[in-house]
Amino acid sequence: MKNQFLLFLAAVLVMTAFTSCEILDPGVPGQLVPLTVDEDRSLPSISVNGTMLHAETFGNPTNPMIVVLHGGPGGDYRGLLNLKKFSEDGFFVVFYDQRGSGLSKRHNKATYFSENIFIDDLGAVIKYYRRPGQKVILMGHSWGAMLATGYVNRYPNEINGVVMMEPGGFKWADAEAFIKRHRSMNLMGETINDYLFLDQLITSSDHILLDYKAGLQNAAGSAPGNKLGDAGPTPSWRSGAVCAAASFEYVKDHPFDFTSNLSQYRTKVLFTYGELDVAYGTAHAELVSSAYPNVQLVEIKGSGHEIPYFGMDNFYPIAKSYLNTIK
Amino acid sequence: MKTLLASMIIIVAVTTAAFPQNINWRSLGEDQQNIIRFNFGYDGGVAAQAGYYRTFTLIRPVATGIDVSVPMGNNLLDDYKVRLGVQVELLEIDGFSATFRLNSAFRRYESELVKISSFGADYAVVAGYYSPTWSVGGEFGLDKAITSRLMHTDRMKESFPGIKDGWYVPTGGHWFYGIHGTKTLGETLDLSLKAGATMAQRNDENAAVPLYLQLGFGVRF
Repeated sequence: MKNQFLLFLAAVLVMTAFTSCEILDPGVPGQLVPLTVDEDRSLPSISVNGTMLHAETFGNPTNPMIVVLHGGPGGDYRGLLNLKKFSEDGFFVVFYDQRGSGLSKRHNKATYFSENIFIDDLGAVIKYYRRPGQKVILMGHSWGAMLATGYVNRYPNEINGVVMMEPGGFKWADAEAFIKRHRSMNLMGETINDYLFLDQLITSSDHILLDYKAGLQNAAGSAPGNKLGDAGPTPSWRSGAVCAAASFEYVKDHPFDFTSNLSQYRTKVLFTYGELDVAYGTAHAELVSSAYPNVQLVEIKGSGHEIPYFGMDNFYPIAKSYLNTIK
Repeated sequence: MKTLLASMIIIVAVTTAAFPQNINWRSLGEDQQNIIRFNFGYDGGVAAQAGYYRTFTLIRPVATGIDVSVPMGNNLLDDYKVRLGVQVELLEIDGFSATFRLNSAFRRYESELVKISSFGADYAVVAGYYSPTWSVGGEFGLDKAITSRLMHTDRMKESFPGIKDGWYVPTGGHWFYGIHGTKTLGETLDLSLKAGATMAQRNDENAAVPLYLQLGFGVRF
C-alpha cells in the first residue's frame, strides 16, 4: 500500500513538472537547429546548380578571388571566418556552405551519392562570382582541400592557386587511413560513450533531428584530448548529417581518386598541416602532398587540425606570402 | 489537450514496470524469490548494470524489479539509465516458455551542450527453452524514448541563440532482437549472455553501432 502511494506521488510530481512546460514537436524548423536559406530568405544566399547555398563575400569583387571550402562533408564555414582577413590584403574572399551543409538547402539522401555534385556546385559558385580575367584561388580545409583538388584535377587550367589545410587524402585509401587514426578512441572513455548514448535518445529520418544529433555528437568528438590536437570544437551553425552520412556511404563503393590528372597542374600549391595533429603527421602530409608536382609543404606550429581557427596566427603570414605570389 | 496527452504519456512511462533481464523461471527454487544481477557489455555504449528483482506468482509467474545502467567514462554519473519493470510468463509447455516483458525507462544524458532527461518504455516478447540448469531463447521488442526534456547550456545558446529548451515528443525508438542464454552454477548462482541487434523505428537512421552484448552474473536467494 505504502509502495503504491509512493509510486503515485512520484507520478504526480513528474506530471506537475512536466505540465508546467510547453510540449514541443522536434520536427518544427528553427527550434533545435537554425533555419536554412530556403526556410529563411533573409539569410545571404545564391541560387546555383539547382540548389540554394548560404554564401557571403568580403572585399572588392574585382580583386583576385579566394573561394573558401569548408570541411566535412557536412561542415560549414562559420569556423573559417578568420580567413576573411585576406580581404584586407587585396583579395575577394567568397565563403559558402556546401550543398546540404551548414545553412544551405537540404536535399534527399540520393542527391549526395556522387562526388561530382560537390565539384559541379563549386564550378557554379566560381561562375557566379567570377569576372572576366579574374584570378581564382581555392582555399580548402580538410574535406574542402580534397574538394579543391578534385576540382583542379578536373579543371587544371581554371585555377590560379591552391591553399590546403590538412586534406585527409586525395585518394580514398589515404583519407580513410587518416579518419581511422583520428577516430580511434578508448571504448571505456567519456567521448565515445557520450557519442553512442545519444542514439538511445534521438532517432530520426528528418534533417532537423539528424542535424541536431550530429551537432551534439561532433562536439563530443572534439572534446579536449582529441587526437586532432584541437583545443575544443570550433564554431558552427548546423551539421549536415544526411550529406555526411550519404557521402561516407557512397565512397565505400565508389572510392575517389582526385590525382588522375593532377600532374597537369604545374602551379605551386601551398599545403599546410598542424604540428599538434598526431593523427596527421609529417609522413601523411608528405604522402598526400606528393600528388602535386609543385608543392610548398609547411607545418603550422602550435595548431591541430583546425588551422583556420586555432592556428590562424601562424598560418596567416605563410598563406599571405603565398597568395601574394599569385596576385 | 497537449498537456493532457503529455501527462498520460508520463504516467504510462513511469508506472509501467519491466526490467530487461530474462528470468529462467525453471531455475528458481521455492525459497528463492530474490535475484541480484550484475551485467557488463555494450548497450548504447559500454555500460555496467546492476539490478534487483523480486518474483512471485499471480496465476502465472511474475517478476518485478529495478536496474541501473551506467555507461563508462570519466564522469560516471552524468549519463545513466534506470528501469522499472515487470515480466509475466504467459505460458509454459514442457520447458518451452513465452514471457511478456514491459519496462519503463528513465535516461539522463549530459554534455557540454545539453542536459537531456528522457522518459520511455520498452516492450518485448521472450521465448525459449528453460531447464533448471540452463536456458536458451530469443527476444524481440521495441525500446522507445517517448519524451525528452532538452535543456541547453550557455555554450549551446551562444552558438544558436534561438534554440528552444523544453519537452520534445517524440524523440526516438529502436526495435531490438537477439538471443540469450543462462547457465546455473550451484544452487544460487547464474551466468547469462545476451546478444542482438537493433534497428531504428520507421525509416529512422540506425544507431552508429546497432548491436548489443551483455554478460551477466546473478545471485538467487
